[in-house]
Amino acid sequence: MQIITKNWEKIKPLEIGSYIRVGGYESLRKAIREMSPAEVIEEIKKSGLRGRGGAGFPTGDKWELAAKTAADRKYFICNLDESEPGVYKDRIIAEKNPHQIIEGLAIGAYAIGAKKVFIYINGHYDGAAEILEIALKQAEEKEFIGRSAMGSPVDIEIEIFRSAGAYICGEETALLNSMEGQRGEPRLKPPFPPVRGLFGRPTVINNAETLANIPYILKRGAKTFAQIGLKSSPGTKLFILGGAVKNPGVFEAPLGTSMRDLIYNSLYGGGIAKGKELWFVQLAGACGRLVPPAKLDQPLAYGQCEFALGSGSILVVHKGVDLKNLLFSWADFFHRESCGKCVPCREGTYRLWEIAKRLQNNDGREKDRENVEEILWTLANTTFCPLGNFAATAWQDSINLFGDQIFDQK
Amino acid sequence: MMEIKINGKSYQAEEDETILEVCERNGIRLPTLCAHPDLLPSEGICRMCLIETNQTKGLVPSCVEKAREGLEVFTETENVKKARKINLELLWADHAGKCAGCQRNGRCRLQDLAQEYDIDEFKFVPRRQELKSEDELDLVKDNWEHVAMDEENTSITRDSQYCVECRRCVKICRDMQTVEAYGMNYRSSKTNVGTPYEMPLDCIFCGQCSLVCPTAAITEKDDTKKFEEALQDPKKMVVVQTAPSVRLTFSEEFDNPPGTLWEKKLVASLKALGCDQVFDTILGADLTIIEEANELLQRIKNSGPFPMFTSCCPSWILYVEKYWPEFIPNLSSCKSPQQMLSPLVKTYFARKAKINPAQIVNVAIMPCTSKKYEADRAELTASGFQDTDIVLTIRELARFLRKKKINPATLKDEKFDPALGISTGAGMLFASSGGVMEAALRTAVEKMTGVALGKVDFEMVRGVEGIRCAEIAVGDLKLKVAVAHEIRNAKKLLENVKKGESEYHFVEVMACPNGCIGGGGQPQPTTPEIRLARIKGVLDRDRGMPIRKSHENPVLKKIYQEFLGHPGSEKAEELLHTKYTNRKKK
Amino acid sequence: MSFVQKILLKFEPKPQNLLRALREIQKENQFVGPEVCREVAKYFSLPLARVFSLASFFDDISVKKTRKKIIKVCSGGTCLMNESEKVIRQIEMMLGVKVGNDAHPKYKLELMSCRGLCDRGPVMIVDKNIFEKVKAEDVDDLIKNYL
Repeated sequence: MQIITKNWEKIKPLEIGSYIRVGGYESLRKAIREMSPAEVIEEIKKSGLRGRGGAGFPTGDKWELAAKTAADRKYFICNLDESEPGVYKDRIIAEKNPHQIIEGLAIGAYAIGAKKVFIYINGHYDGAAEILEIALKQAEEKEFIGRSAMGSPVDIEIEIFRSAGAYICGEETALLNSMEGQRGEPRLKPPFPPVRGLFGRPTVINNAETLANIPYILKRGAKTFAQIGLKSSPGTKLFILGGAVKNPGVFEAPLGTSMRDLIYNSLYGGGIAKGKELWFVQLAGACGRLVPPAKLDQPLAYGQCEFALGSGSILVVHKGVDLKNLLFSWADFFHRESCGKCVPCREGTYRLWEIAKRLQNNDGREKDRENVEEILWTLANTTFCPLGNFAATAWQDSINLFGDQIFDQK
Repeated sequence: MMEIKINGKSYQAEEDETILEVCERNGIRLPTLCAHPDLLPSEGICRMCLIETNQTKGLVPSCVEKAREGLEVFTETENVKKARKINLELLWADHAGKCAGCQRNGRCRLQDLAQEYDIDEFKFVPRRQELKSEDELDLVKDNWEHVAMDEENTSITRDSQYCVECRRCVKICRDMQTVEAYGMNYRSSKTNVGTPYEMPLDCIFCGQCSLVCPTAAITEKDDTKKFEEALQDPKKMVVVQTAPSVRLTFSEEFDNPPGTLWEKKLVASLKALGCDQVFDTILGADLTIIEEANELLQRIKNSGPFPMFTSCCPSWILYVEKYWPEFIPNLSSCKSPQQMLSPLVKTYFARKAKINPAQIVNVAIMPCTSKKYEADRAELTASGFQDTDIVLTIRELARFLRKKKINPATLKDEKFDPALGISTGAGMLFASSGGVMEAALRTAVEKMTGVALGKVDFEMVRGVEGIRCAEIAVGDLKLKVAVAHEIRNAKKLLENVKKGESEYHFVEVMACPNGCIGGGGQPQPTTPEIRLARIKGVLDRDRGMPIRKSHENPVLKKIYQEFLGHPGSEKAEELLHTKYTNRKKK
Repeated sequence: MSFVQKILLKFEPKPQNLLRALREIQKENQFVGPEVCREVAKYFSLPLARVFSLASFFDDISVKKTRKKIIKVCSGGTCLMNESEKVIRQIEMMLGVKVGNDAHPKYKLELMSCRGLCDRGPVMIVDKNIFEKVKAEDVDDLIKNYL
C-alpha cells in the first residue's frame, strides 16, 4: 500500500518534470483554483490524518485552529529537524521526492492563509537541504509557488531555515524560539502555536512526513485515505527498521500493522539477522518504549496502542547486547540534549548520566537503584516540557523488565 | 472576582491572578526560587512551586496557572511533596558541603528551602569516603570546570558554583534595567548565568542582580575585611557616614517590620564597633540640594542646558556615560551626598579637629553597590586623597555585626556626632524616588520667589509610577519637572527628550526601583510591598524632623560662612562638583 | 571589508537571521570569537550577552577555540547495535584517550548525537570528515590518514 512512496521509482529529485508527469502539483492546483481554504481544511479533517512526527495530533484540527485565529499574518512551518536517534525517514523523503513535501506545504499554507513558509531542516542534512533548495527554485520558476502561486492572487513564499545542532529544537515551541533569534528553549503551552506561534502569530508546524500525505488526500479524496489503515488512525506510515533485522531500512506500511509483521515479513524487515536472537524491541527512538517478544503482535497506530509508535523507529535489540551500554547511550543523549532550563531535567539527566557511566564501568553503588527511580519519577512528572518524559521512558521500561540485571553488579 | 478552593477552604481570587499570588496573599506557603514580584510574569522554570488541581493533569506550576471558576487546588499532596523533595535534592547536589564558608550562610533562600522540606543534601552526590575510582573523581572535577568567577570589579562578586539558574538576575538586568549584561549561556548541565565569553562584568553596577539572587552566586563585593583592618589600626581614625535610607532598612536585617526607624541603633552599632566619628550623609544631601538648587537657578538664568538631571545616583551616571553620552552636558555637576561629605571630612573637619587627613579612613554605609564603584572613581580625590575609602552596603554591615555578636537591639541609643551630623527632613527624602526633587524644590522655590514656603510638601512628585511629571508655578515661571526610577523608565524619558516630545527643566533619575530604598545593597528580600512600607517610613521621618528645608541646616550655614563661601564658589567647585567621561563603546 | 561583514551583509538585520548568520560565520571560521560576536551584535542591534547566549546554546557553533583534534562517534542506539562500542574502544586504545575526557593534550574523543545516517552506521567524524559503516578494524587507517 503506497501513499507516501507512490511513484518514487519514477521520480528524479532534481527534475521537477518527473514529478509533474506522475501527477505532481495537481493537488496544489486543485486546492488553489477549485477549492476554498475552508474546503481544503474540511477535506483534511475528513481524512483523519494525524501528525507523523510522533505526537499524532489531528492535522485538520491544527489547520482549522490557525485558520480561525485572526491575525495580520500567519506562518506555516515544515518540521524537518528530525534529531531523534534512529530516525531518518524525513531525510529520505526530502532526498527522494522533495516536491512532495513542497506541494503539501504549499497546500497547507493556502489553507490557513499563510504567506510566509519555512522548511526548518536539520543543520546536518546538507544533502537534503541542497536538494530542497534546487526543488524550490524549480517550483518557483514554474510559478507553482512564490508570488501569485498557480496564477492566483495568493502568495506562497517558501524559505529554508537550517537548525544548528539541538534535539530540543524539534519540539515546536523551541523551534519557534530558535527562529526568533532566541535560545532553543521550549515555551509554556498554552498558548499553542496555531494561536500564538512565530513572532506571536498563528503558526502551524507539521512534520515533513505529514505534509507528504497531503497531495494524495486532495487527489484521491479524504474518504479513500480514511479507508486505509485503521479508522481512528488512517493512512500509512514510514517505519524505520534498524538493528538485528535482515533488511534494515525505511518501509511504508499501513497504520495498524503489527510489530511482528514489520520485523518478520519479507516485504519489510525480513526477519532477524543471521546468527542473532531477538531480545526485545525499542520503538520511537531513544525516547521509546521497550517491547518484549511476547507483545510483538500489538498493532502500531496512533492513539490506541499499548506502545506508542512515535515517529516510527523500530530498533531490534539482540541477545548478547550489554544493556548497560544501551542505558548509557540513552542517558548520554538526553543529558547532552537537555536545554538546561528546568531543574529536574538539567540536574536529573546529569545525575542519571553519572550513574549510567558508573554502571557501565561495573561500579554500582547501594543507593543507585533508589536514586535512579527518583530521578526517573521527577523526569516523568515535573519537567517543563516532554523531554523529561522522553528521557525517563526507556530507562523505566528497562528497570521494569530487567531491573535486577542492571543494579546487581557490585 | 471569583471563588476558588485551596486545600479544601474557599478563597477570593481576581481575574488573571495566578494561584501563587492567591496563596501568598492568604499565607499559604509555597516554595519558590525563580518567582519574584518584581519579575512578572513568572515562567515556571524552577519547578519548585508545583501543585495539583482538579482541572489539570499532573503537577503544574502555581506561578503560571491562573485562577479559574470552580478551581480546586491542592498544595500538599503526596506527589507535590515528592516533587519538592527530589528537585531540591537535585539542586543541592551541587551545593552539598559548601555552606560553611559561604557569604550567605544562614541567610540563604536555598538553605531555607532545604530546612523546611527536610532534604538530604548528599543524596545525589558522593560523600568523600564514597569516592572510589579515578573516573568518578574526573566526573566531579568535570562539573567544577564550568565555574565562572568574577572578582574584577569594585561592586559585584560572582561565583557560579552557587548558581541555581533561576534567571532572576538575567531578567532584572534585561527587563528592569535594559542593560542585559548577563545571559543564560551554554546548554544541558553546563548551563550557566554569565557574561559573554566570561568577560568581566560591564554594566552600571546597580546591584539589583545581587539583591534578587537567592544564593551566593551574585553578591555585593565584601569590603568588611578592609573595614575591620581600619578599625583595628590604632593609627587610623575611622569616620563613618550613613545614607538616608539605611537607617530604616537596617532594622529589617534584625527582624523588624519594614519601615521601622533605627537611626539611633545604627549610630550605636557603629560606635560599638569602634568607629571614631559617625556622621550623617543627610548633611551631604542637604549640601547637594543647596549646590544643585543654585545650579538650577543659574541654568534658568542662562536658558539651559535643559533638562538638568540629578547626579547623585552613580548607576544613573554610568548609564548616561556608557549609553547616552550626548546627555553628559545635561547632568548636574554636583557630586552625590556621599562624595560631597567625604572631602569635607578630610578638609574642613580634619582642619577643625586638628587631625592629619592622611590618617582618616572615610567609610560610608550605603544601600547601594554602585557607591563602591563611585568611591573608586579616579577623579574623586578633591581632598588630596581618595575621598571615600570604603563603602559598605547595609547587608555587609549587618553581617559584620552578627559576626562580632553585636545585637543592635540591646544597645543604648546614640546620636550622630554633631560636627557633621545635623540633618533635615528634605535630605531624608533622598531615600525614595521623588525625594531629591522635592527637597530641591523646597530650596529652589524659596530662593526663586524670595518668599518662605508655608507648606513644604510637594505631593505631585511623590508616588510609585515609573515616570511622573509636574508643572510647578514659581512666580512667572512654569517649572517643568519629571521624576523617573528604574532604568527602563529613564530610557523612555531620555528617548522622549531626545525626540523632542518632552521638555523639562529639571529631572530626577534613580536607577533602582522606588529610589534608594529599593537599592541593590538593601536587605533581602525586597518586594514592592516592602518598598511601600519603607517609603512610608521615609515620609514619616521627614514629617517628624524639626527642620525640613536643606538650606536651613545650621551646620551647613556655618560651613559656608567659615569655609566654602557661597554656593557655586571656587571652593565649592573644587570640592563639591565634578566632571563626567564619555564611556560609550565605539 | 572583514569576512564577518561580508557574511552579515547577506542578511537583513532581523531576528530570524541571527542564527543563520552565526551558522555561516561558523562554517567560514570554525569559531565565533568575542570580536566577531561584537560585530554581529552591533549589526543586529542586540546586546552582546544576547548573541553569546544564543551562540553558546547550539552544538554546531563553537564559542571556544580549541587546538585539539576532535574525533566524534555517534552514541545512538542503532549505531550501538552495529558495534559502535568496539570502534570507541579501539580509538581509546590507539590514541590513549578516554571518551569524554579532556586530559590528552592533542586529541579529544567525544560522543555525538544521531546524525540521521542510521542506515550507514556506525558513524564517525574525524576533524571535518564524515565516515560511515566504520568497523573497529578500520580505525587504525582512518586515524593515520585523517588526523
